[in-house]
Parts: sequence; structure tokens; C-alpha cells
Amino acid sequence: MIREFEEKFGPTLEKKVIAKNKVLYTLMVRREDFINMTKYILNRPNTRLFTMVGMDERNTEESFSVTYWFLDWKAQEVIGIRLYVPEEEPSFPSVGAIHKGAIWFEREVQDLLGLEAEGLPDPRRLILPDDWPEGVYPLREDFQYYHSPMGTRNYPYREPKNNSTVHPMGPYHVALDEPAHFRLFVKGEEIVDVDYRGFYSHRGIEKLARGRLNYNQVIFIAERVCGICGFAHSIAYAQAVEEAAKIEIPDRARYIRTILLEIERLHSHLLWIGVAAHLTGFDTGFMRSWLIREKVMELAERLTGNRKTYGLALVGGVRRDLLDYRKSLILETINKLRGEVNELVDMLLATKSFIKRCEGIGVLSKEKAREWDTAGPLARASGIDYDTRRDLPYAAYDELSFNVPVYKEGDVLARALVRIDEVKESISLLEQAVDAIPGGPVMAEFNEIPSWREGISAVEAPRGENTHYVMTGEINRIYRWRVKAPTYNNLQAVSDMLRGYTIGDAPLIVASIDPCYSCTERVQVVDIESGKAKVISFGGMGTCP
Amino acid sequence: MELLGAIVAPFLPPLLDGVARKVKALIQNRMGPSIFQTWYDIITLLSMEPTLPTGSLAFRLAPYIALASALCMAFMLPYGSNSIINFGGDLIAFIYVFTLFSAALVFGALSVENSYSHAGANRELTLSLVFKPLFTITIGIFALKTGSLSITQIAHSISPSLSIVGAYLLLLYVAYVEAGFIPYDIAEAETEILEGPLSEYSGRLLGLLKWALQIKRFAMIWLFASFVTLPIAEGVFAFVLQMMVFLLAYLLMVTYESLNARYRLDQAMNQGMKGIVIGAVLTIIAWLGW
Repeated sequence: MIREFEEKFGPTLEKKVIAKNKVLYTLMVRREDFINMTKYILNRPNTRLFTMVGMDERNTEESFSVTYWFLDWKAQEVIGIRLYVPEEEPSFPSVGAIHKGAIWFEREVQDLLGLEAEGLPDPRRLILPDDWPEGVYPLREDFQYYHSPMGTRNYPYREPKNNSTVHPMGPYHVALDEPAHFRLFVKGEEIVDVDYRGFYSHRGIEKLARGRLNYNQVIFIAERVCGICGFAHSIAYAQAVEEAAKIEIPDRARYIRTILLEIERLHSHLLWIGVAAHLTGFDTGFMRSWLIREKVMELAERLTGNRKTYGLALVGGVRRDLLDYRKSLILETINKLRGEVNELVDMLLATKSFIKRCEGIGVLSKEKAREWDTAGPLARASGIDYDTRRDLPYAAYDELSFNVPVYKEGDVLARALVRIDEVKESISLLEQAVDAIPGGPVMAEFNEIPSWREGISAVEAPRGENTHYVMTGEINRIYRWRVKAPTYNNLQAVSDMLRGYTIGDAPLIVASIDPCYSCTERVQVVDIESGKAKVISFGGMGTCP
Repeated sequence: MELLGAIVAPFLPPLLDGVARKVKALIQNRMGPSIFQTWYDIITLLSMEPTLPTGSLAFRLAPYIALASALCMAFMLPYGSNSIINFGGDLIAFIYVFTLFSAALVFGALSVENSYSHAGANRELTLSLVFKPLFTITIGIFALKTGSLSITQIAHSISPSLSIVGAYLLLLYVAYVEAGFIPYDIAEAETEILEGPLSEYSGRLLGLLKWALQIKRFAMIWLFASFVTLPIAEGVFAFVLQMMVFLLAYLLMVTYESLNARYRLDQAMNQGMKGIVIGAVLTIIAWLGW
């Protein structure tokens, strides 16, 4: 992708190489070329909008910037296109107008930085609360993280059309474990349209990281982005910083990271299988699945000291070594797991009423899945053969062998089957990793992290890729840290998945993407009620369904 | 014996639900709550002031009507040889109060502004459209074969034949559906529509409704147990036998419930329609004399 792109657009660009196969181009002149460039990239097969980063670079470059990062997962190449947006005229051409996957990114920079995307289809507020005043942009450098202005409450919800009525699902609903508000426009029980308002658990992580944390503190906040796939977030962050600072981590650390990432995937997928069974009323499947998951949690506790939120990652390696006798503990546990998982799967797939509820429900076509840049099991169930573990290898995945399950049906059942297959793959991966783990140190040695370097990295979390972007700053602090969780894209596709099905199916369809709201809603902002900046507490963490 | 029935019918069902929870817990490798848990819940709820989301009288009356109809259903059934309330043609009255139960739920649910309640009411109505006729057809086969419209008389005079065997199976099925076990707890689906008709109820009114649902569940299965045992037994022995068949059926149903997921409304309707077709065929067979 990089070579072809340069041949076509090279002369107008300033190039900066971030890492092997990762380049950043800055558009110096002719902003009108920008849309053509994105069109050119996104029209290629196997490309996706990886993440988008808005930055306040007024201190260094005297303007704001937006950077669109694209990934070609077959060529394993990442391209970034940076566009400077001057303070006097804070607008840029919208990619959301031609590519749906960019809509939330552009609504986000509009909210947080006050940069307007011209031609954006849905310019409503996305992240900031309903009563946040107009014209106050919390991610700008001149906004202090503890400041909490008040405005009047107002949100322009869409009104139901064609004689449909509103069936509100959430912010509090028994099937949603975190607050999210789906306005289902229904005729009888059939859903004809959907409006979504979320970001109720928006916390302030990125601003906090900029305002008052150093590199090694951020990694613990990164782990607390999510209560389920937290380790994947901390690794993605560590990798981005390591890339920026050009740190090579020791082999043993790579393997330890792999082992824990797979343990995390196991527990997350087993959790999801249980929740899916529960939502269809099949509580026996739910309880059995969580009973197996409990053993995975115990294993994690023995290895790291914590059932969840392992606290093991550091920039440059891992904090603690795995003792040798624990290796046999892992093998013992996964040997037991293998039989129990097979039993569970046999039981689930033999329960006709469960299969009937999942089959043909919430279908997402491959085209739609690509339009929204969906990731993880959701994308793989819709026929997109993409997994960052294989396509953008990190940790020790390039030295281990595994299959990436892909299904074509795109319904809830296919998503369940992808996860079931992945559970089995994870067990095999764990076995291989324990077998192949080399000796040696677990931390790399490095000096001060240089300023104004950039790194971008992704980790395949249980729900899809966690993409973290980092720009290093001065005095041991991060200048910009951008977290993109897979639910950020997957959640946008839910509207398309709900249309045409009934309100009885809605909880299962929403759950089928395995949504994680607190992952998606991280970023910035302070507690409105107390008027204070809130330091993240466990109570606010996601218990993701 | 009838007196015993008057005690059993209202007070045993919540205890049975406690047993059901224990059985389910065993199947799911859990400890489960005490078997008195459902009673504890109902007693707690009955002592609490309800929060009323509407001034509508229908909303406040619905739980009482539901409880009264459920009790009527239970009292019309035979305990041992006789029932507490019996008169010629009480079968028709049984079907009437049986329908009144659903009607009370629906009216209560429709009297509040809540799309979850409304969805529940809608589901209850839709299910009623299929399963109430199915129940009537099934009972009709028994009435046709025995030539009576009194539940006690029918129960005592059933003699085996092809259509009666079919009708037994169909009755077991309808009893299961109307008892509101998964996969047929569609109207009160908690994870989908927040218990539908029950979602706006609280305190005393919710307690009454939960109690009424348990009694209705009891009545449906007890009807089946009576039809099975009374043709071959009399007096105290009949009551013991009724209880044994009832418990067996109840436990089997609970086990089946815990091994299944909930149907969607259209899936349940399809099953119900199949039931009606089978019922119609059985009626013809009965009419032909087999």
C-alpha cells in the first residue's frame, strides 16, 4: 500500500517513518487532495481506518492537527495522513461523509477540540454530557483537567418517523451491564430504526494522562480502561511507547505477555458465552460457562496476584517473572479446561432452543462490516479475515501457530461460533507458549524516553483490536495518548444489525458484539455533579457484558 | 379432603417454586437458595407499600383479579374425589377464569405508559390467541369422550382410547406452556422486556401477582395430575396419587426448563399452531369414536 500510495501522491507529502512498515505523511499543501487520498486507500481491498487522532499542537506547530491512520492488513502496513487545522479556521473535510467508520472519530474531535468536519452526516454531540456548555473544548491544551463548566441540558434526539414509536432501551436495562441508551423506533415489536446516545461512563483518562501522569503511571490507568480486556489495553499502550522510544523488549517478556493476553481472552470469551446464554433465558449454559471461567480467573490470580487487572505490564517488559512451577500449573489448568469447554460447547450446540434464538438474528453483511470498520469476532463472523495477532504481529504471536476462525453468515450464531473456536485456539496457544518460553530477563534496559516521537500499536483484545497512539512529550510525560477500543467501531454497526428484528432480539444482538462501554468512552472529562476531576476508581470500571 | 385442597392450593405453590429453584441450582452446579426463598420474597413484598405509576383503577385491581381467578381455578379442581367449588358445567367457568387471569394481566399492563409493559401485554395477548383455544380444544376432547361438562365428573369417568391418550399429551403440553416455564415465559421475559406486564408493579401488588402466577402454575399441572389419577383412584389414595403425579410432572418440567432457552414469540406461535392442528385431528378422531 505504501509504495503505490507514494507513486500516486508522493510529491505533495512530507514523509516520516514511524517504524518498519509504518509511515506518517503530512499534507503540506492542497488540502483538497486529502479526500482523494482517503478514498484511494479505503477503496483498496483489505484496508481499514485504523484510528484517528486529533491533537492540539498549537504550542509546537501553531495549529491543531488531525491524523487518519489506515491499515492494510494483508500488506501489514500502516499509513498515517496528517492534516494541520489552523486555529482561525478550525475545519477540515469530512471523511465520515464517504466512509461511515469515520463518523464517530470526527464527532469526537468536534466535541473535544472544536474542529469541525465539513460535510459530516451526523454532527450531533457524541462524547460530552448533555449539559456541557457550547464552545468549551476539554482536550485543548489551555483547558485544565480539573475545570468543570456547567451549561444547560439539551440533546437533539431523533424523532420517530412513519408512525413508529420509541422503545427506550437503557441507560439502565437489565441486559446492559453498563449505561447506554438505545432508542429503538418500533412498529409493534419490530425495530425500524435506531438512535444511540452513549458515553455516560466517559471518564477523563486521556486528559488525565496528559495532565498529571508519567509514562509508567499511565500504563496502570491504561489497564483500567476496561474491566475485561484491560491487559490488552496496557500492552497496546506499552507497545506504542516502546515503538516511539525504539525499545526492544526481551524474548521472555514477549512470551509472558502472550500467555496473559490469551488467559484474558479465555476468560472474556467464556464470560460472553455465559451472558449470551443468560439473555436467551438459558441459565444452565450461563452458570456452566462461568464455572469454567472461574478456573481461568484462579489461574490468573496464581500467575499475577490478581484475578483481573493483572498489573503486570510495564513499558519495556513485564513487572514480574513467571516461576517455573507455575508453568506446570498453566498446563494442568488448560488440560482440565479443554475437556470442560468441549462439554459446554456440546451442550450449547445441542440445545435447539438456544440455537434457534441465535440463528439468522442480527445479520451484518460483509459490506456493512467493512463500512463501519468492525473488528474482532464481529468482523470475522461477517467474513472479514482479519486478526491483528496474525496480521500485525506483536508479542510472541509470530512464533506460534494458530488458526483465525472466519464465518460468512454474519449472525449471532456465527459470532458465538467464532468465539467458541477462539477459546480452543487460545488453549492451544497457551500450550505452545508455555512450551516455547525462553529464559532471560523480563525487562529491557533503556534510558530516558525521547520527546516528540510517535508510536502506534494494536493488540487483538477479545472484542477486536485495541489501537493506541502515543506522542511523547517533555519531562517524562505523554503529549497525546489516543485509545481506540474495538467497541468504538462495533457499536456503530449495531444500528444496522438491529433493523428488521424484534425488541425481544435486541438485547442479544447488542450483546453479540460483546460491547464494552467504558472502553469506548474513556478519553476526557470530569465528574459533573461534584464538579471535581475524578480519579478512576474500580467502581467505575466496566463489567462488560 | 376438600379442606386440605383449600390449604394446599394457595400455600403450596410458592414452596414448590422454592424446590424448583433448588433443583435448577443442582443442575447448574450451584448451592441455590433455601426452598422457602420464594415465600420469603412474597412475604417481604406483601409488607411493602407499592409505588403507583398511574392513578388507574385497572392497574391497582389487576393483581387482585389475577389472584382471585387463579384461586378460583385451583378451587374448581378435585382434591381426592371432590373439588371445593363444583357445579354442573364448571368446566366452562374454569375456562372463563383461566382467560380472566390473562385479561387481568393485560389490562393492568396496558393501563400504564411504559413500552415494556405494553410489549408484555401484547405478547400475553398474542400467546392467548393461540394457547387458550388450544386448551379449550384439549379439554373439549375430554368433555366429548366423557359426555360431561363438570371437571370432577370428567376426571372420574375418563376411559382410555386413542384420542384420550393424545389429549393427555396435549394437556401436558398446554399445562407446561401456561405454567409459564422457559421456553414459554415469553410474556414475562426478564432479560428482554424486563418482565413485561410485571415491570411497573412493586410492593404488595407485585407480591400478589407473583403469588397468583404460582397458583396458576399449580392449577394447570394439578388439572393434568387429576385427569391422570382420578380415573383409577378414589378418596385419600386418589389425593396421594394426585400429589405424586403432580410432583413428578412438576420436577420434569423444571428439569426441562433448565435445559432450554426462551423461544421468540413467532417461534412459540408456530409451536402453538402445530398443537392446534393436532388438537383438531384428535377431536375428529374422538368424534369418530376412537
